[in-house]
Amino acid sequence: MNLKRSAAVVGALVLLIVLGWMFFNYSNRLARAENQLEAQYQMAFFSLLKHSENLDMLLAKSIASSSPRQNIINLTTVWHEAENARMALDRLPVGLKLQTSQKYLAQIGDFAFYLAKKNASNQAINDAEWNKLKELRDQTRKLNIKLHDLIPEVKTGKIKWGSLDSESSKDKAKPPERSLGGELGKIDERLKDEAPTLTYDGPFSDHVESIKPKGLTGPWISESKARGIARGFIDVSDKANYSIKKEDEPKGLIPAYSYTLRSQSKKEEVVIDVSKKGGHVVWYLNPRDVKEAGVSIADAISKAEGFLRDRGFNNMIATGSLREDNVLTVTFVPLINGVVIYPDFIKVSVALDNEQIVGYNAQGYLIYHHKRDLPQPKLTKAKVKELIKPDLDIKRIRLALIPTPSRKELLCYEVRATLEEDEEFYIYINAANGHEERILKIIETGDGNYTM
Amino acid sequence: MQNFRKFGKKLLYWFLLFFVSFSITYLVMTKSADSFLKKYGQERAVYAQGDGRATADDVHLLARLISGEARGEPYTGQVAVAAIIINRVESPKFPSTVSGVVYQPHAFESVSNGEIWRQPPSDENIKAARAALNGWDPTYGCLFFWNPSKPVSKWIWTRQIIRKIGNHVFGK
Repeated sequence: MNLKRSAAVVGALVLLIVLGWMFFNYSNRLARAENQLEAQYQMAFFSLLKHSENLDMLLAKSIASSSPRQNIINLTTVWHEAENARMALDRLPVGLKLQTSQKYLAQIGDFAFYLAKKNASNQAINDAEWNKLKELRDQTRKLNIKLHDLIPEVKTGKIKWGSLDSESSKDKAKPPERSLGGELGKIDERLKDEAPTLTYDGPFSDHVESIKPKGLTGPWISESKARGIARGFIDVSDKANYSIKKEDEPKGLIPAYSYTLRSQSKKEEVVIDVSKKGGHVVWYLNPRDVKEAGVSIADAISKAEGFLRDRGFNNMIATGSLREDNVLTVTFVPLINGVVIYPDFIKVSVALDNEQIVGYNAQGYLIYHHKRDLPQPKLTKAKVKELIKPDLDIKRIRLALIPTPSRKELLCYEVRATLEEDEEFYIYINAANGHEERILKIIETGDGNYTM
Repeated sequence: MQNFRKFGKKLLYWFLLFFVSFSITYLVMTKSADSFLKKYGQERAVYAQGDGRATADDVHLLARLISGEARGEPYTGQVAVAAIIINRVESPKFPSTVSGVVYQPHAFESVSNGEIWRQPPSDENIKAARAALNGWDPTYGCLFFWNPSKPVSKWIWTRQIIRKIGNHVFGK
């Protein structure tokens, strides 16, 4: 009996040890994982601090320097440091609400890069631009002071990496702790009021956000008219028998009516948006399964062209296509008086099993298309040829209107040329002054071309 | 003695029960710790990425996020979720790569709870990701989406709502 009793006691002890070990093991793992994460966050914080300090110093140098050559280096390094600071900020667990800080850093970099480009093309930075740079420097210095204040708490691991959600703290009775999210949130609020508005030629310029659509010509239309337009536009057989259901209306950049059209068998479904102003089809999608491909790329492109012609787009030319599975998406742009108008693009998707148009997207066209008075090119084609490196074999030269990063438009000569017969480039030469504005490399895949 | 034997048996029984239930809890917890580590590992990978716009290489990651965030949503709603990611990549207010946007801390619930690693995306998810990469944007430039029937931060309701698709609202 005694033996049994001690067996039970030993058994219980062993169990206790095993359980204890398991618990220790688990909490150890969790603690390690938590520490790793804490280390990541701290690294991001100190990296933000470091890059922000560098930014301040480089901005100061740029302002002090009188050498445009030196400033090209300073300003491009500002861009680099601002991007690094932005990346560090992305990695902090402070929620998604530090949008002003994010944008602020993105804009400093973008603006500095624009100024560097200006210097590189021998244009002087004007007084207004110098003043903006000074304002940005002041803001950066203030940001650094705030970040420095947080160092002791971050270093000792005392700070709470809370999100900015005030409602996320469960215990309302407790006084709110100083959290990194909260502190950075205050910095963000202040930037919102104090950061300068920046308008320049770059993708993050403030004017880009407020672009309004130019292609919504025509009167406002009624809902019943929109239904007819939707049904008439889509490419399905037996469309009269499709049921049509009104969906929630998008109220954004292009206010529209939205519909889902279903075939009687419910096998096919097309979603379509029709603009309220002018009754233009903005886009449609038919996500049906596309079976074995039996149609050639060339046939599919001419089918897409015909589809556009039937719907009133007479002067569109295909500029590129991409095949994904058995769907070919073709990009079309207008060709007006011999000029390729790249901003006004329309995309058309063709199913390669039966040539049906399964996708249409005219958002670009409706935002940018308008009647333009294009300037006469000052350069001749012969002059453009001289500007191209002799190693390149020129295949074609034509006039093209291209969008700049800040959505302005430039009239250029588009030079299609190959290097040693296997690499193809599009080089854009400004038709007014002969500057090389952009160079694109054609990436040829078995399934179509795209540019980088 | 009889009593002691009974007591010993009872003790053993309770310990066994405790042992089994604890083991199960332990296993579950270890699993979650693993996914925690995995997530952390993913975040590191983001840091090594350079900048660039959304490209065809991003299809798979986008499709996974659609699978995690918009499972069971109508096709347009899936395209819309992918369009949000692409709009964020192009916005100065968010990271400048698809992986940067997807793995931004606390940005997506399906990343926080590990849902996006749990199952491969469906063909429909992939198709939706491609449509968005090709420029179809049912949200007209929105940067946020949320499910109004779930608890979300009050802040998100201060966004301008552009449209509603399925269970999600999309806002700027």
